[in-house]
Amino acid sequence: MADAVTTAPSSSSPARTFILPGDPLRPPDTHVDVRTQELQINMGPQHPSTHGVLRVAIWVDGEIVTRADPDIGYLHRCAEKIGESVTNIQYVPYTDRYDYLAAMNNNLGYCLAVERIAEVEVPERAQYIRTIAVELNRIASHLMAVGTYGLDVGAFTPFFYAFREREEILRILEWICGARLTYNFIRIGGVMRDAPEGWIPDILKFLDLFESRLDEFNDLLTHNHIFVQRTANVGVITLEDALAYGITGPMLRGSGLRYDLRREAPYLLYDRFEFDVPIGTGIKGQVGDCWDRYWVRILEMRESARIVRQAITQMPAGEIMAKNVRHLAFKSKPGEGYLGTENPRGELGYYLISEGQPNSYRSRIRAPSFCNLSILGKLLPGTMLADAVAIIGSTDIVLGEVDR
Amino acid sequence: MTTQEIKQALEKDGLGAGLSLFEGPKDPAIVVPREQLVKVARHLRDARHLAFDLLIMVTGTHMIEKRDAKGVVVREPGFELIYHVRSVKNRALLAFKVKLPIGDPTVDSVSAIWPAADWHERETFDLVGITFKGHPDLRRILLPDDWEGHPLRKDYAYPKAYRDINLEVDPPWPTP
Amino acid sequence: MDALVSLFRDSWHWAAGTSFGVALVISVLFIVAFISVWAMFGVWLERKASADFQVRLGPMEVGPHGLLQSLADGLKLAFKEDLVPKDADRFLFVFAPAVAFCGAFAAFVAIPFSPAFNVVDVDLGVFFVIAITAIGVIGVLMAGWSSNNKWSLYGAMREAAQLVSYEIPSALALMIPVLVTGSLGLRSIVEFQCMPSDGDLKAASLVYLSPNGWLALYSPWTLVAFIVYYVASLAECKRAPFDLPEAESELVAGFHTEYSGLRFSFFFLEEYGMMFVVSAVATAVFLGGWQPLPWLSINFATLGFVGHLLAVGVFLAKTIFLVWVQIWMRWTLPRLRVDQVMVMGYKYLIPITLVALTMMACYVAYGIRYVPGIG
Repeated sequence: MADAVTTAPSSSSPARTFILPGDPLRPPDTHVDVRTQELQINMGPQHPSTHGVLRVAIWVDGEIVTRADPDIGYLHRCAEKIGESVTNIQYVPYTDRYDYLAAMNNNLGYCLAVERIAEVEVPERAQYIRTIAVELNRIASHLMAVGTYGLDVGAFTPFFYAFREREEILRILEWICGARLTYNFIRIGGVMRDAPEGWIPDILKFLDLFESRLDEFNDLLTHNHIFVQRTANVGVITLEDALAYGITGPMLRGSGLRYDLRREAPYLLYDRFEFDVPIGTGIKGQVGDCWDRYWVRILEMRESARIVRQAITQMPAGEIMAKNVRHLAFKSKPGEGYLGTENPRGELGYYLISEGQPNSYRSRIRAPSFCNLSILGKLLPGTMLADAVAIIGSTDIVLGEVDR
Repeated sequence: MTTQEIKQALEKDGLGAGLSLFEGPKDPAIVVPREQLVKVARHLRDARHLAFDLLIMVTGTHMIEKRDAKGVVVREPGFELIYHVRSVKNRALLAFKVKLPIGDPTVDSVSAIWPAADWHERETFDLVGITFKGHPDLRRILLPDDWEGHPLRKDYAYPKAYRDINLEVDPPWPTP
Repeated sequence: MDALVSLFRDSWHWAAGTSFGVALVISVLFIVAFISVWAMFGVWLERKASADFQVRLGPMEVGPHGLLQSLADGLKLAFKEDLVPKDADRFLFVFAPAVAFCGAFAAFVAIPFSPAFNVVDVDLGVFFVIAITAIGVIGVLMAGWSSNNKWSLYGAMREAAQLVSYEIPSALALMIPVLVTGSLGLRSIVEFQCMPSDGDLKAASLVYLSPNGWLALYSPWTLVAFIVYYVASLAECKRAPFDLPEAESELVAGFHTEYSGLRFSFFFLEEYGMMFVVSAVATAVFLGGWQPLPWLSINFATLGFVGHLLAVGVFLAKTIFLVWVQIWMRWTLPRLRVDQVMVMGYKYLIPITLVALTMMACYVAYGIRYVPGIG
């Protein structure tokens, strides 16, 4: 049975082994005179559920997927080549566009990497404002992820509820920097603008409402019996597989490993805040299934709200931009370094080689969605087509950063 | 665990042949000779005290010749591959490099050791042009399959056309 | 329609055949008009109800509270380009929406809107409705196959499996009221529920108590039958949580992906038509038809034409309520996967229905009544 595909046991069916057509060990279909064949279908690049221009070439036998091959590159915008030709300061708006749902985190990663190499000291108030912006963006990104995940499995209403909250966050972020999606707010050396009058009380008002709204969302979608049936025991990623395939972020935490870069290698000011790192424990099914990853995202939103509250109480007055940043337009310090930050999707890393010029010699982006997507070729075979949609939704990819 | 300590641990385990330390103004890295790559990588993953099980990134860079003010060659042209790996147990991040000559950008694939390297190596092959021997499925990943050239090389010439699309268009802003 | 036939024959002294033909044409045209207006209203109701659940307003611009929005959409669909994909099977592609629509449309002839308003008082009403609505399955299969699109084929195959599977619990659940009333005709089932205690329906007073009451509350087994029938009918209408055939987020639009313009509007008419048919049958069989309250009946025939209109009003109110509950469930629940749909149909609904059927048969045989006789 060289090419047999064994399905994983699910809540409604035991594990079954399929011997595929074309395998010499398959018994001849003598009792039926209908010849079945394997069908190759394309999911994407235009598809409501692939969260962007992703093409997954799927080979199906009936409803069971036998082979899957993700085909990316539809959104490739030559990010790394551009990083070599524009200066570091000019490159910051480009970083917004990779993971456009968590643009603040992208800005932050790049600015921290450049600041490390160019030895720029960022004032403390700016770091607190950065933390607030980044964590609010994390909540917005997770809201989008869980909302569209509900849409993927057919629940249309929770999407609107999630977006009601996301709309609030986007309004808050627009107040401080003028943009709703691609902020270009965190600059090298600090932030673009100080918190205006009334911004902080508005955030606190939002956070007070947010907790109860999250409970409402949980009642509607998370504990819904049909949703649990669709996502529990589906797409189980074992911890060994997750580590082997370079998966980070909520996907890794959903498989049970308490690994968060904000704890392991703290950057910014994360060692001053108290927050938990949620992991998936297999409440509804197996550890590492789609429901666990989804549950980790829900819990992380609560933790981000906690961090924002602590950042607001601890924030001092002061400058918001470092003093000696202007010279970076003309020269920088030589060196190469890698800095990894915790994006809502995983570990976002920037590896910069600088030779003292204002532009980098090499700027390489380690996109978490790129690495998370590579497990799809191993995870999809053996699942049903509807499960494939649920699994792709639970990886929470953004094609902007997969393709860069 | 600093890079120095990891290098010493590797030397103690008998894999120190050819290893050197790249100090760098910022992040240090262990320079591994091309032939030793797979052995060192496997040891990094499997050894108990090292346990680098999470491959973060594989980066390829085309290094052009660098001369200093007097015209002396400071850096030979070539390719540089840098691997970043993390150890969950030991909370460490390690960077190790492999330098490749300009005429022969091939190296062994580590995708058997870290399956995460599969896509990273495909991307490096696609954009920089480094070939990985032993890779299960080395084809272009981001660019179309029939694209010519490797864009991230410093001497990449922008194509004039791709299939029947003319790429020599004037930009809509004034150019000198 | 019988009233119309007698009207034409007696007033204008037409021959029986002519009277029958003219009455038939008028009735059918009336049903066509009704189904069109119903589809527009159904779409408006769906959009407003879903907007309400999703914390937004829904159509507000066209007409007061968006009432004319469906008309505008229908006109827009009529003006769209009529596409047939190049490699599609042209005959099947063109014919499929008609077949699907006819399946839903033909079932309207048996629905008893009021004691006198029905197209034909079909003696085999229940059987007829179940059989005719199954024709829609063929239409959907034709649509999916002829589109020359793998995703449409997927929708069609899933739909065939689902609809055929859920016919069984749906029909079995309808057998339980048939067992109680002893008749397959939809009007006689409603009359059973409205029956006064002396058994003479025509001579009853205006407002009277009927001991049988709504069949849904007649006995626990008929209540089970009502719930099973409602759930199975959700699957028949391809509504969430059983909307795999048109699973928007998975298969783009399932079996009607390639359809646009007027052909697509036929599938839409079919969907809302089926929703109405299924809710109307549930109302007639389980919720008492034109009986206003469970054990309180009004003898509408004594009020003449106005009385019949009131009866139609009561019937439509209950039907629209059931349709609203269908819409409510669609926008709340996620979608079941195809094997879970099959499991639910075969492993849960059919055994429950068989048990209920057996118990109901015992109740009827031994004369056990849940509610003691009134009056």
